[in-house]
Formats: sequence, C-alpha cells, structure tokens
Amino acid sequence: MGVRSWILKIHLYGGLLCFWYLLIFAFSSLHYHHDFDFMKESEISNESRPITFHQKFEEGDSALAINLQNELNLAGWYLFWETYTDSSGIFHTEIQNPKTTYRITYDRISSSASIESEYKGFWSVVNALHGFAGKMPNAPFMIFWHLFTYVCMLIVIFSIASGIWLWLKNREDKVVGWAILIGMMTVSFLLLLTTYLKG
Amino acid sequence: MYTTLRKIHLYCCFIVATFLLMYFVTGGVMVMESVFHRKSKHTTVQTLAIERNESEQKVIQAVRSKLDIEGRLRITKSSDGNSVYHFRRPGYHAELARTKEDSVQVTIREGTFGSVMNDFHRLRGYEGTWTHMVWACMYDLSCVALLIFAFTGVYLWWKLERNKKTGVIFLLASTVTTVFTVLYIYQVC
Repeated sequence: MGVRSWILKIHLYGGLLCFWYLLIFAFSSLHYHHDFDFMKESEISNESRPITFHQKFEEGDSALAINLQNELNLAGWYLFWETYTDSSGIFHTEIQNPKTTYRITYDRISSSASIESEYKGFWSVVNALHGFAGKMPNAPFMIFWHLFTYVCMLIVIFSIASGIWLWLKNREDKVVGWAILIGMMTVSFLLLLTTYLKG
Repeated sequence: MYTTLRKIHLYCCFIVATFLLMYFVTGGVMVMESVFHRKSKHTTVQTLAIERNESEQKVIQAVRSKLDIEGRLRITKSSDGNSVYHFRRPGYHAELARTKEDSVQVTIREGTFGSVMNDFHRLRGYEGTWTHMVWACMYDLSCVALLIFAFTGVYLWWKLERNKKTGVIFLLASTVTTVFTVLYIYQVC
C-alpha cells in the first residue's frame, strides 16, 4: 500500500472518528456566537442534608468548600469568588458542572447544608463538550473526553493538510482550486494580522 | 452526486482552512492551560494630565493617539458612575478611565502567548469595525463548514469504500465515546 493510500485511510477513518466531535464543536460554536434561546433551560430544586465530615481539614473557606463538595459527592468545580462566610456565620459556596449549578449554604452550628440545584438542560451538557481543559473533581472518567478532544484536534489539523495534499495528487484541473485556496488564505492571514495589530 | 459532494467538501476546506487551523491550534493551546498560562505579561498604569473643559470623547481620542492605543471598543461604568473605555485586541487590553477632572488613568495589559491564543479563539460578535464583521462571518462559515465536512465526509466514505467494516468501527467508536460521556455527565453531575 502506497503513501497516498495510507494518507487517504487516515483521512477517512480519522474523520469518522471525529464525526460527533465535529458536530458538537460546530453547534456549540454557533451557540456561543448567537446565544440560541432553545439551548437555554433552567429548573431549580431545593433540598437539605445533614453533613458529617469524615476527614479533618484545614481552617478556611476554600478547604470547607472542597470538603463539603466531597461529602456531598458533587462533581464539578467550586467557584472561589462565590465562596464566603457571611456576617451571621453561614457559609456559602457554588459548584458548577456542565449539567447543574449547585448553590450551597452550610450552617456550622447545626452541621446542615441547604442545596439549591439548577439543572441547565441537555444542550448545556452537549455544549460543555466543546473543549475540556482539565480534570473535573469527582468525575474521573471525564479524562477520556479530554484525551478524545486532543485526538480530534490533531486529526482535524492532519485532515486539512492531507485533504489538500490528496487534491494536489489528483489529475483534475486545479486552477479554480488554487485561486480559492490562495485567495482565501491570503484574506484570512491579513484578517488575523489586522485583528492582532489593530483589533 | 459523489463528484459534486467531493467538490463541496474540498472547496469548503479551501475557504475556511486558515480559520479552522487557527481554531484548532488555539483550542489546543487552550486545553493545555497548565503549560500556556493566560495571565498578563506586562501591566503598565499611568496617569495623564488633560484639559479640564475638554469633552470626554476628545480626551479619549487624544489619549489613544498619544499612546497609539488600538482595539475593539467597549464602554462600561465604574462603581462611581464614570465611563471606562476598554480597547481590546488579542493579547492586549487598554483601559482608559477619567479619574479626576484633569486626569485620565490608562492601564495597559499585554498578554502571554496563551492569552493571545485564548483571545483569538474567543473573538466573536457582529459588532465593531469591518474587521470584526468579516471575522464574525468567517466564524460562522467555519462552523457551517465543519457540519458540511462531517456529513459529506460520511457520505464520501460510504460511497468510496467497498468493505465498510473498518469505517463502521471508527464511526461507532466516535458514537460510543460521545454517548458514554453525555450519559456519564448525567450520572455524576
């Protein structure tokens, strides 16, 4: 099997592997640009739970937020800018994940937590798959999507280059193709440069 | 049909190739946040004296010319009700605020490589100068092109390959990974 055949196979199968990621990336990008109403959802529920900490931890709001999150077994990131103790001694924190926002208040005296959960809907979960920069606490398997994102990025970059290479190897007339490719690349580079220098 | 879709697949790539490369390279830098930090590289703060009776617009224009400030303008209000003028471009943020009758405070933040990449990736919106309009248009075109690549790609593979077993395995792998992740998020979140 020649080089062309190998590259075509990687291009084809790599593209198929990225199929869903490309759809998610495209739809979520369009949503970030146009803020579609149908993708917004909000459903709030409340509950209270007694809390017993099973581990000793350092004093401080950050440590308390992390330990509360672990005791409640909530996946997501706690928001340090929403974490504080108010003048009456009640502790407040917020935990965000792709599906739910948890607003938690904790009474140190009665050792009970009130949790307001805001379900953000199916599209919020899908849009969160746009890019995953790091590990999500209490959700260890998200590492697979993190790795999948890397693989898809490399495949897309390879597919653009290999697609052009495969076209170059074809015998068809390339005048129109060259004109579009060079023209659009020049326009795009100038646009990137102007935006970088002038804003 | 096959030839037409192949041409659409190809020419879509030619039109948005540079932008798509930019989005996937900058996206790669963004997911490697621990390596490429997004903090400011330099921050300079200076206070410039201005004419007392000059209008705010003229003052801002004069300061911009003097310090060669360029970028997309956004105006916000400070806690004391004064207007704050933000000029942004990838990796650059200038903030102009009239602190007293006769002075303007200028804060300029220059970002690291990670911050420049992050700003390029997140630049959007049909507002601002013509460059931003063209940018927003290219942004939308890139999204539509990705959808076209995905669907025409599957069609072209289906027509091209006699033995579809390997392709089906890859397509299934993509589906399983995505469905597993969505269900997992629903389960743990």
